[in-house]
Amino acid sequence: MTYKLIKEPMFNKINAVKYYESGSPEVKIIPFDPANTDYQEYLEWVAAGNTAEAAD
Amino acid sequence: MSTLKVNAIRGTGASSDAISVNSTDGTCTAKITNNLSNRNKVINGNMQIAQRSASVVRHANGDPQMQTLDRWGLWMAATGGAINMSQSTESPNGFSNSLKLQCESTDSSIASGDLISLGQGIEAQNLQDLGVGTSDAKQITISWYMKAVNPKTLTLNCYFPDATNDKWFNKNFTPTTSWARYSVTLPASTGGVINNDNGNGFRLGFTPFCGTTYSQSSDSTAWSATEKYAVSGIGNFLDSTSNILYITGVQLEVGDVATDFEHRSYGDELARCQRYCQKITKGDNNHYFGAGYYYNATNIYMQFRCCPQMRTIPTLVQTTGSNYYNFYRNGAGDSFDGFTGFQWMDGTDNAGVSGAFYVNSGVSGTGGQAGGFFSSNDACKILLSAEL
Repeated sequence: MTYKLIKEPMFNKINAVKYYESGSPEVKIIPFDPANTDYQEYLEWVAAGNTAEAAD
Repeated sequence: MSTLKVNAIRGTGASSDAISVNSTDGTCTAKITNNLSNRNKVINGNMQIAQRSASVVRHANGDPQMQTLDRWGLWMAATGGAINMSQSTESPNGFSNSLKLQCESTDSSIASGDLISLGQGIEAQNLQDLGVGTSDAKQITISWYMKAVNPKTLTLNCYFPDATNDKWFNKNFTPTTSWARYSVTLPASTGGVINNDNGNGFRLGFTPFCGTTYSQSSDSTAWSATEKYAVSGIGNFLDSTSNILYITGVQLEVGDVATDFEHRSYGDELARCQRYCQKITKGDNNHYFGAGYYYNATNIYMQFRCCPQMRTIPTLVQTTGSNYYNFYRNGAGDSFDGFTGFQWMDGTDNAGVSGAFYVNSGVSGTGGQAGGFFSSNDACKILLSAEL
């Protein structure tokens, strides 16, 4: 599985992270909201020493 | 005319009163077992709503939390094997659907840290009437129907995520090859905690596969502070691809009696589910699903308003593929593979109210032109998820 940061173009601000698995057509775009459980899982993944790919 | 003056009414063979009469204020408390509204805290307990998908396979190393039927998630931390989770029409009389778990590929040995749990989290602010953590804490009764092919013992696992003490409760049950209703009454929790917020206040789960790390030796008789998801003695659900478990009619209610399952209308159940998941399009080739505009030459935005307000700012879940989507404007279409990102209103009051998706990959046009978003492949799926 892979996380990649997303920079929103209107305000030029990183506001989400994309989650995807190799070979799977499903993509999640996860907001930076502490109450969002996908974001909580992302933070756990980061806390485990991982780093998301940089935004384009 | 005469008046019957009593303090209670009790069945001849019962151990508690069916009706308790207050001797002074003219009121009573009754344990009525049917036709009471809004007593079931579980959403989609009859497994009727499936906005995401009616079937999905969960592999050992995939996304740890997988959803199919609304509000039901499968947590899988296993070293091998796979499970197919689907909506089934196999159901007891009076129900139309059940959730079906079937072993898709096997894992003959259970590692110590392995765990599979099918469950539902219940929003904390919907549970304040349980009085958890107070001297007026109420008992909780959970009931459900299940049957199995190759029946194996499983654990009903319950916990309060906000609590430190009085947190965990586990009890084993064994289904048969026929539909039957099961129930358990959990003790009142005066030492537990349920925050008054939009987080997960209580999770009930069914554990059909668990290693020793997360297993306790015997059924709970009281809430515990030790993190456990199962009781030793459960089977290995992944030991044969013939293993199937069906569950439906799940109900959680205040009190010590399992009342009749509360059947709600499809629309009512769907509206409750939409606080946690809203489908924008799915498997719907050649249809418009939204309106938008070119913000500038390379960015198309689509405004979106959630109805109802979602639990929190949602995740955008979409399938992507070559030219899956189109934006039709000014007599022509711009095809694209999927949305690039979004903006959302935030803050306590506005989270999950409205937002905008945008796409800026593979499209170009004239700023200010308006148009319609169109699904161009049967595999298209876009939904918003604010699950617990």
